[in-house]
Parts: sequence; C-alpha cells; structure tokens
Amino acid sequence: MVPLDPRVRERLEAVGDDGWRSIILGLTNYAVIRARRLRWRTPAGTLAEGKEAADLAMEAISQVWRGERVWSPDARPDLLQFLKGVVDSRLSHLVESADHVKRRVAAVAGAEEEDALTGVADPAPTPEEALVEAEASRTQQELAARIRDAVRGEEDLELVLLGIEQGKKPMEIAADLGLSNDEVYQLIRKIKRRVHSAAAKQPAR
Amino acid sequence: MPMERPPASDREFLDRLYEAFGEATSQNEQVLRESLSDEGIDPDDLVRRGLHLVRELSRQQRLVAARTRLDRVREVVKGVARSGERFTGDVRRAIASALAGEGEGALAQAYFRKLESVEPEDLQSLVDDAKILELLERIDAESE
Repeated sequence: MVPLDPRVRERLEAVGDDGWRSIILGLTNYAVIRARRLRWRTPAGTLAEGKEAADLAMEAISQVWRGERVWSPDARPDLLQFLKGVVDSRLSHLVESADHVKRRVAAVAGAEEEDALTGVADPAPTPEEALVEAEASRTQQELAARIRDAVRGEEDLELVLLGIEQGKKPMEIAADLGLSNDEVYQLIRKIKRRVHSAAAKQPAR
Repeated sequence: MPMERPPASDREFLDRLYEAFGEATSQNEQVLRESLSDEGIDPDDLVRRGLHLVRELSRQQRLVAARTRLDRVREVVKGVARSGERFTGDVRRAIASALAGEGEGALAQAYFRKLESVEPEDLQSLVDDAKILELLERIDAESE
C-alpha cells in the first residue's frame, strides 16, 4: 500500500458513511450497466478472469485507497466520476483480454488446420477474426431486433426507444413527447427490464 | 416526434440504449437500489461489504501514514544525534517537516509551533521509537 498524500486521505475520510454508501451503490450500478453494454460490443461476450461487474466497483475503491490510482481532488473533485473512470479502464482491459483469448482460440484452430495442409504456421488470424467479428455483429443484430420486438405495440415505449436510437438525450425525448424527465426515466427503466428478459432468451454462445 | 436524425447501426443503438439505462437508473438512491436488485444484487449487503472495505482501507492507510512519519522523524533525529548537533530551530523545523510530510506548508508550520514548546531533552529522547510515537500522539491530540 502506497501512503496517500495526507490531504487526499483526509478528503477520502471526509466522504463519510453516507457519502460512501452513495458511491458504492452508484459505482456498482455503473459497472453493471457498462459491463452489459460492453458485452454486446465485443465478440467475446464476457469478461475475462471470471470477474463479476460488481466486483470492479470494489476494486476501483480499493485502488484509490491503496494509492494505486492517484486521485487529485483539486483537479477532479467529483470522486464518483473519477472512480467511474477507474472502472472503465479495468473493464476495457477485461473485455480485451476475453476478446483476445477467444481470437487466439479461433486462430490456433485455424493455424492447426493450415499446418496439416502446408506445414507452415500463419500467426495472423485474419479470417478467424473476421468470423468472430461477424458473430458479434450477428449477436448485436439479434439483440437489437429482440429489444424492438419487446416493446412493440406499446406506443410510449416505442417512442422513447426511437428517440434513444436517434441519439437523443432523455431530456430531449421528454420535451418531444410532452412528458416530464421523471416519466421518461421511468419508461427507460421499463425498457431496461424488457431488455433483461430479451437478453435472458439470448442463446448461450 | 420529428425524425431528423439518421438511423443508428445496431451497435450504436445498443450503445445509446445502455447510456440511457445508466442515466435513468442513477437518479436517486431508491432507483439505484431497485436497479441493483433487478440485477440480482442485494443493495444492503453490497453497502455493508463496501463500508467494511472502506473502513479497513482507511485503517490501513492510517497505519501506513503513521509508520511513514515515524520513519521520517527517526531519520532526522538519528541524524542529529550522530552529528552531535543541538536541537536548534532548524532541527525542530526539519522534524516538523518530517511530521507533516511536506516542506514549508501550513501543516509543517503548525507542527513547528508545537515543537517550539518541547524541551530539548524530550527531543533528544526521540531516538527511541516509543518516544516518537508518544510525541506524535500528543501533538495530534492537541491538533484535534
């Protein structure tokens, strides 16, 4: 453990139990949603090292307290935002690791076949990479279709989903639909629950 | 609703959707708790584990800080003892900086003011770790 700058330690201690409770809940929720989002973005479809997304929030907090990630309260006063950056960094690493493993498995399988035919090993797994990418793209396409199906027939959910698809922020969608921000947030949470159900029906890869 | 923006790819669509989920589920603590419960995470257990972790890390940091200060003061005092130097204002200033972990900052100044009232014999006894700890405790208690 690296000794923290006394001012940083004092700032971390001054957060207090109530502040830490908010950070723990907010950061874990952030990690869970980011992990779910990244899963659909990558061919691997899972995190490496058997990590649960929720573990990453605790790891980020530990890294800051241990001085492994240097928080500068003057430069970045919002501790939760800083911790979210730490989670992002760790998540990217884990997703890339999982992605790498899957690519190598595909590459090795391809290389072994090639060895048998030509006796020459090719370390560049381009065709297999393309195969894995195509699989990820198909998964995203299937999930997007399933999400749209899940809200079909419910006009308010369909309109909110359309707004999100068009890149609008919840506040803009609220203004377009003549709803309050809270009402739009509630509808988005309803869509999220539908997405969970849709994802649960996703065949295991 | 106006349709002025181009349609997103599936990947962009999913990215935007999860961005919206993040915003919609972090509006207040109640919503956060519900969102975590939906994910199969018990928010009370999560907070309990998290606070336990924070308290333990805080305790460890205090220990590390105390040990670091002890090492720094020990070095200064032993250096003085070896050289046969007297506990002048400069030495007291060096001890104050070692205590504060900084040069001429406000904390070092505060320690220096406290050390001014410490008798030279007491400072000489600081070659003993127990005496250094005793002094640190006394100064910190006066600071609180």
